[in-house]
Amino acid sequence: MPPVVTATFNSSGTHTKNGWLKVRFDLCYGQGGKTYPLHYVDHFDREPTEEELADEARLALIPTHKELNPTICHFITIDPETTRDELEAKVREIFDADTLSQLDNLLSDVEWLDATRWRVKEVSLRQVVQLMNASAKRGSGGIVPYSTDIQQLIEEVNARLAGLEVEVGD
Amino acid sequence: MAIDVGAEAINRSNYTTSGFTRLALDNLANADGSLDTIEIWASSNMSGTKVGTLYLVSGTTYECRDSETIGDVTAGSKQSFTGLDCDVVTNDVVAAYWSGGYMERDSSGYAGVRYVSGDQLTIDNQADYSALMADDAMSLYGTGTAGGGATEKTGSDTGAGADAKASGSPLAAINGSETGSGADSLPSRDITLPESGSGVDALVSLQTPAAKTASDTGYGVEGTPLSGATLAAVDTGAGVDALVSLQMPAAKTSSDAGSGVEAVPVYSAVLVGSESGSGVEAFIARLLAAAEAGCGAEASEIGGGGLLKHLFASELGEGADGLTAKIEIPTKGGGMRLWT
Repeated sequence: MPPVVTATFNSSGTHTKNGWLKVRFDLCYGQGGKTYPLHYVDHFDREPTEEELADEARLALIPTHKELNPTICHFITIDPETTRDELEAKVREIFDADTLSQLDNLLSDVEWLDATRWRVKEVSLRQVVQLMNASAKRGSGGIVPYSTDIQQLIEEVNARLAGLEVEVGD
Repeated sequence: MAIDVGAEAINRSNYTTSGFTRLALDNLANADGSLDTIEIWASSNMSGTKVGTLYLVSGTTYECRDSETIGDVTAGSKQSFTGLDCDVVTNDVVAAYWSGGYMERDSSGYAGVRYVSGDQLTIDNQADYSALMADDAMSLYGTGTAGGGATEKTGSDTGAGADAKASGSPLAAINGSETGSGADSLPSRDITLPESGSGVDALVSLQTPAAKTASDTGYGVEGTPLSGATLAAVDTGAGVDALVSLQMPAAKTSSDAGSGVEAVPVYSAVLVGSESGSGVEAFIARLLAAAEAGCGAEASEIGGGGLLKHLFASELGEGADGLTAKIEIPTKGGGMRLWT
């Protein structure tokens, strides 16, 4: 049974680039995903201080809990007027079952440097780049006029898309 | 060809702090193109993250070539960001700014990390990255495709050489103050006054007629193969001012002087009283009015179109001004030489 994969809108990534509005979706693979073990990791219950980070013994004293990190964070170009429904449909289109399967296979193709350090094999990383750089995966939208208040636009888009979470790969 | 820049994004033994723009001296960019994927491994959750490409200006001064916002970066595993578009040129470095959290760092065995306070990742911004963490590397790595990316042209740009816009929105508007030369061939651009064109300013598929007004001077190959152009009163045309499929008739007024290949093969043009034509001014269906003198290839053919050429009393006909259908009185002379 394929893992549950969710694509969650992340408002911290909303920005304009060369006049295009881009939004970010974080893709998390649930249990059963090949990348799940790599990204289901310990998080500190609170952010460590600089001194604690510099001292492993002190760092180890901070309580931790498990969290599922995104396997990949993808930016999609959209029109400023894009609705939640339209974007949800676009996200489902981008992250179809085949794409999800490929991403899971490629991003779990890692080599271990030691017990805690790993990296995705270069050949697989190249394929991820190629896969996600296809124009159909990057979205599309009109140029934001120069006169637009970009900060206001970002706030409006973030408010409109807040909490959008799409279960993909159906 | 694949591009990569920076040190690999792995879990390292140390960390580096926020509030600075830090550039990686390891693994300079190996080709020109666009970075579309960035990988980061954060020691603790990072916020307000931007990434960019920089090039060395001189000494330890670097200028931001391009940058893009990423946002938050979750700690604990490698985070990959795709769908980016960050221009990069061979030997560029990759850099990042973040306002909170820490990025993984090693403090020995690498080429080093330079840094400067604050966010310096604004395009064209220069800063002195004199501070150096020698032998360090941070977990910031970019990959992409050679030859990708788009070059935006703005109002103040002057385009030369290969400033062609290859991807993204293919349209570029060159406005009034811009001059184009070399390979600035923009298939769908608008030219507005007061541009002057030289070289191969070809407008291959111009969708709207290009109006040439009084102050325009055209030379070189200013071809408008699909659309119309209007030459107004004081225009002078030289070279290959060919209007192959002119949609609108070209009206020539009294002060026009036509030379070269000003052919209007489809539609008619009218030469009025004081005009003189030379060269290949072939107007298949044109009328010559009273005071015109025709010479060269100013042939007015009578045939399928049923159009007549009128030579009036004061005209002299010679060369290919063959008058085959209608001659007005008074008529003197013989053969093809009508008036001596």
